Amino acid sequence: MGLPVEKLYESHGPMVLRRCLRLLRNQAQALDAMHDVFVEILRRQELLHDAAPASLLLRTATHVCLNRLRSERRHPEDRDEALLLAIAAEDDGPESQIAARRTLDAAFEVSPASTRVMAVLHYVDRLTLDEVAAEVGLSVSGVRKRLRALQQRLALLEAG
Amino acid sequence: MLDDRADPGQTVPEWLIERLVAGDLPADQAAYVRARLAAHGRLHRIQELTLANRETLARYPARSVAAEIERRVAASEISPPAVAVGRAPLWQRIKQGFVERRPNIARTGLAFVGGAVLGWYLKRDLLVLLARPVWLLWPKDGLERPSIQAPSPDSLFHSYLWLAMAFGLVAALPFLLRELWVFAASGVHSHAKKLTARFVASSVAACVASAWYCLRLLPRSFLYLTEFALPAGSKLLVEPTLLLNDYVEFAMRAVLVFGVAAEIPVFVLFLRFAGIVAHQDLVRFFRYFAALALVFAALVMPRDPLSVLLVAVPLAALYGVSVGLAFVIFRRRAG
Repeated sequence: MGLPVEKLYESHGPMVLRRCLRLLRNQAQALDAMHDVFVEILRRQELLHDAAPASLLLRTATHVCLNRLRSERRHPEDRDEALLLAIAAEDDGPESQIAARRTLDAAFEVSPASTRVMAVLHYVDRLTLDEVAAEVGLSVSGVRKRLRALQQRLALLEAG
Repeated sequence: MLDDRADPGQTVPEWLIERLVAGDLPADQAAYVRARLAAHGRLHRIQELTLANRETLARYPARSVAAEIERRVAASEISPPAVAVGRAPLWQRIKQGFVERRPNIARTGLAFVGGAVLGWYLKRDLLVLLARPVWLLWPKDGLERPSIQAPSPDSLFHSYLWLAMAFGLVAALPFLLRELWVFAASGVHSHAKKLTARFVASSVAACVASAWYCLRLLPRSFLYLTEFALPAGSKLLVEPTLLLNDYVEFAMRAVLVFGVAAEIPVFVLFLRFAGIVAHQDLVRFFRYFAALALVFAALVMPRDPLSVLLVAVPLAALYGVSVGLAFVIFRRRAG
């Protein structure tokens, strides 16, 4: 297989599981998603080129979890309205929660996967624009532009 | 809303603490995060996460998790990657990509227009350069003065227009190639983006060198093609008549094919070394590349199927050689 799975899981597995749990809020789903994260990494192991894979694993975990949430939102029978609110909530007040949830909603609807990850990193994980830029490998202005486009889309949705 | 989280004095993001505990942060950033944690009295979080790691590993042992992951990898060989699921519709992604790249597209357009204007001023020199085989070889045929016929009043104008636009394309080439690379590297890591400048420089150099080589080669091919004329004294006189539009079209096609051919190895090598595609992906893509080469050849050589094959087959072969070369170099570097 090439990549030592056990070793990678021992060094980073718990971190990935916590990330999935934070986004999915469900232990069984998080465990399942964690397995998928490692599957993705193994299938694209050429991307795992340095000795510090935590960032890539966390980003992949975010991708996998957001895709799961998006998939759930496509099936209203499984829809859990409280879920996104829980992701967006943390310690802010209700207005901020609603704003963050709406941003995530808009992100899920139209944005590419990379913008969704940026939105989660900035609004949910509270990384600064500098830190988001460093994580996703874009310039700060690039990240700002993406998030601004997201907010413009949101403003259009609210106006319409 | 964009800037309200941008204060580094705020609480330390869990993301960074996780990376710190995983030993993933560079030394200076690790020290910075530790300082921020200390300032907020949250250094204990490192200990908490370390303990949580141990508990998780005890609850979900590495061996059983690894076995499940390997089982899923084996099962997923026949299904597409999960992270590609649930993306926005294609037209929305194209539209958004266009909106995001608007300034770069404008720059490319500006370079093209600027180059075309310059090309228009240099049109006569460009025509003389392109017609080098004619004025170089024609005297050998014993004729007084090299000439190309303009069959209609607007022939010269059209030829100059095409030459100016071709010059504009050359001027816009670095921007076009940059856009192409950014498109190919979108969604991948910063190391691929860092290769942008090198990719653009290599591609432009390869393209220009190849086009120049083509111009140097043109006289020989011109001589070879005109030598098919029947020998002097034969019953039938076949005299080659060069029409301006046809000649310019012929020469520009040759330069275009050489330029595109030079891009193939550069693109393949960079895509491979940036980790954007795996070697198997390149091999699997061969059939699509062969189809693309046929389409390209049909566009530049629309006259007959044989000419299409004469262009498409070497392009496909060049792709195969480039993939093999990437494999050999990558193995050598990895080993």
